[in-house]
Amino acid sequence: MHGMEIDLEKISDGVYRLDARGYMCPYPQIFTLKAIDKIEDGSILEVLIDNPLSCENVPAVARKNGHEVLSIEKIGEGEYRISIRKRGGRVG
Amino acid sequence: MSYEDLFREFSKRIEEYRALGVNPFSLATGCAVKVDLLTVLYPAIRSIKGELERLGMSIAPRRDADIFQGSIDGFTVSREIYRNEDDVDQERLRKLSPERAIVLAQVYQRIADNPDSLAKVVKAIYSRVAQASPGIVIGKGHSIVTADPKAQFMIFDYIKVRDSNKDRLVVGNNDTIQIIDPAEDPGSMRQTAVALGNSLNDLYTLGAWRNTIVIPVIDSPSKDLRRRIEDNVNRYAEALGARVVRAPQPDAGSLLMGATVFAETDRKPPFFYDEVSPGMEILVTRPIGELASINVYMMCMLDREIAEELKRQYGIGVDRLLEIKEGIIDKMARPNIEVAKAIEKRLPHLEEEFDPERHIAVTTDVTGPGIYVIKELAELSRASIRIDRIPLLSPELSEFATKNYIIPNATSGTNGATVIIAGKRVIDDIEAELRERGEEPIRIGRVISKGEARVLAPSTIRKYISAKAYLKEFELYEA
Repeated sequence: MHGMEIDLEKISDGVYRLDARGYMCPYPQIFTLKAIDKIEDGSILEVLIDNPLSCENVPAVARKNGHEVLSIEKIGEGEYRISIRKRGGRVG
Repeated sequence: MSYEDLFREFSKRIEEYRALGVNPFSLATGCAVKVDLLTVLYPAIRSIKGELERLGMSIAPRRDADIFQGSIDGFTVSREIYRNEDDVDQERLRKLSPERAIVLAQVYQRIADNPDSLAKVVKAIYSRVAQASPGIVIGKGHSIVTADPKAQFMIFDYIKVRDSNKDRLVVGNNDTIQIIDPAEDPGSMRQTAVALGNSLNDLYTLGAWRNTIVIPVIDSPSKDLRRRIEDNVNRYAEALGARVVRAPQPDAGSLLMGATVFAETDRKPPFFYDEVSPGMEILVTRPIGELASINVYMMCMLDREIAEELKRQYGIGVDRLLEIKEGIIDKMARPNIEVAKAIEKRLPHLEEEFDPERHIAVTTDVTGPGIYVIKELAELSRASIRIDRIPLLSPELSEFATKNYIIPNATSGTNGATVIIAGKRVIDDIEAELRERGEEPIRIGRVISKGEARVLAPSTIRKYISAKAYLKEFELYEA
């Protein structure tokens, strides 16, 4: 990630990846919300994280904003992939 | 100041960090950087304790600081830094033959994810140390996480006692932070002052402040920044009348500031857990929850929608948020030495017995775990405690931080308040004295019974803690 730009990559149609590894809580949460803002409704965002606290907080903040958490997978030692389906805009 | 002005300033600061080779979003603010105590650290230590004891190493009970008999001039400290077990020079350790050590472990966050991987790393180094110095006591351990795999290391400050002076105790502690406010210059005096205040706070909370020694722990991505932090340490110590002792530094190129600190006392430490009895009151020396404001400010700068939401829900605009945050950091930058002096006065001399009419029974400081420290005191005292109120520096920001999953425990702090448990007369007395000295003491609850460790807390605590691991430690009642 450069400056305050988020590292969002399109993997295939309707599937995006946000690499938030190397970031401390609470930044992965905010980068997740910003990434969801940028993708189309119904598409899937995969968030990669390696901060233990964010494992609880990224899904929580996604659900709070009305999105659907599809899965939380461990993909390596201390590394996780959280898949989120975008459902509408942000909730205040 | 408008949002645009603040955002411009913030962006400039972020670029300054990046120019130093530091990603500010890879740093945790204050004590939020600790390895999770409940789910990772305590289980990891439990799993290796038995094996280390067989090797002759003992790990002191969970306490705020290391304590040993002696005087400030009667012991030497030798610092060794290990990146892995191969760095442990057993020959040198045998020659040194230390009795104790104070340890700082900075662990890569992927390893701090679960107790097994943490235990593996810690055990490998501890075992090599134990083989070379059987009988060694780890008096205090402090574990923090880093997002940088190259910045994983353990610092051992080995203690060799030459003169175990029987009429005095030495209290030692290590604490570090990576940063307190990423929106501020990392080399500012305030950042260093919060870090050092936080290291000293564990001594102060035990009433130890005399003849203080500061052995800095500084890591920095640049020589210039390191020199500035060192200068800050010197100025801070001089103002306190403390002595600075130089020691090797990790040189990992990450950002880290804090110290191993020692002070002397001729009083018994407030570990009178058996004396905690029904009717005793609980006082905090000032409101808690320092870290919420800093984290909310960061989030508002990163996302304007969050700033707008804060204004809409709580009427707090960014200029007011900045004002609150700055006021809180000023509080954190002030050493809590007045609290230390007030506590010291109300502790028994070494040859004296505890008297509930005159002495403080138990203290602890409020850091990363926030209000959860009350549960730790309840466990140590085998007491049931009722919390009547949770005094927060900014209830609105703590609530907003929790609601938006910005911080899992918005009661947590750094260089925070001290919790004091004592009889009513002692609490009356110390509350009046602290108020006179410009502190903001608040009574938050009382001990209701003995025998079982329970903490009853008002259900409003849910507004300030989202972390399930912490919430389930409280029995909630409708306030």
